[in-house]
Amino acid sequence: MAPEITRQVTLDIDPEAAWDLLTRPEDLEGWLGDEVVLDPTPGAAGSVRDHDGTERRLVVEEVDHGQRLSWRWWIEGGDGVASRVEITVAPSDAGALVTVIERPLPRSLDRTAVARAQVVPLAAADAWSNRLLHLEAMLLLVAARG
Amino acid sequence: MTRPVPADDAVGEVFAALADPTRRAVLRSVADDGPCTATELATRIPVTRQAIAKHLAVLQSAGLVATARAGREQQFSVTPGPLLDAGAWLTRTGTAWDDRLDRLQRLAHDRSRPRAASDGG
Repeated sequence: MAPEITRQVTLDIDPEAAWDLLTRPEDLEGWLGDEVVLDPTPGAAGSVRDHDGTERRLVVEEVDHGQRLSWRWWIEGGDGVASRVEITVAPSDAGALVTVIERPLPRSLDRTAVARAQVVPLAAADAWSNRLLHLEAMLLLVAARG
Repeated sequence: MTRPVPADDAVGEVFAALADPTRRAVLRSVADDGPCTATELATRIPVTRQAIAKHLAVLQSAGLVATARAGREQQFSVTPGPLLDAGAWLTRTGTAWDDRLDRLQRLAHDRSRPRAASDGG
């Protein structure tokens, strides 16, 4: 299990049209960012510039055409944290169900052997555990402040 | 060679450290009961002192606990800064996706209307 952000949205278009919105350059600039370079090919480098000027660099990781797209991204020259985004598309009664999961990458764990021995496999994430983890982190904060 | 690490760079490490339930129990015990040693923690949590010490090492590596000398042992206390950073990342990232998916939904809705109109006519 791992902390992550999970969001789902239902689009009232069919899954093929949803996939186009998620992968075509002219459509990506309508929702992902103001300027988007994203070639849905594994290993392709790209970038996303937000409305506020924040620029992220990205590398596409996995593409399962019509169903799943994932990439790693990080803020260029910014706050340093890299994360992995996975977007899936599935048919639903109303059209297409789009699910987004973003999770931070524990890059800094590679720095020490002791940490490396304790790395928890992030792929084993589930949303319920993450909600508990988030709650636990908040409780710890309250306790630490008290 | 090491380099200064920006505060947010540790977020992934904090989340990885918190992902283990026993480690969270250790951190929670330190947070609830105040500064304590690994030996004291081993009386409260049903794992060996050696295991506690390993969990504390990971928590310390993630910046979640700090140490002070207490006689022959080290005493651990919670440092909330990294938890705040991790909470801020969750909030910031969630809000960003709410905004993006709101735009995506509106874009899809705009696309669906002409199709619905042509299907009907």
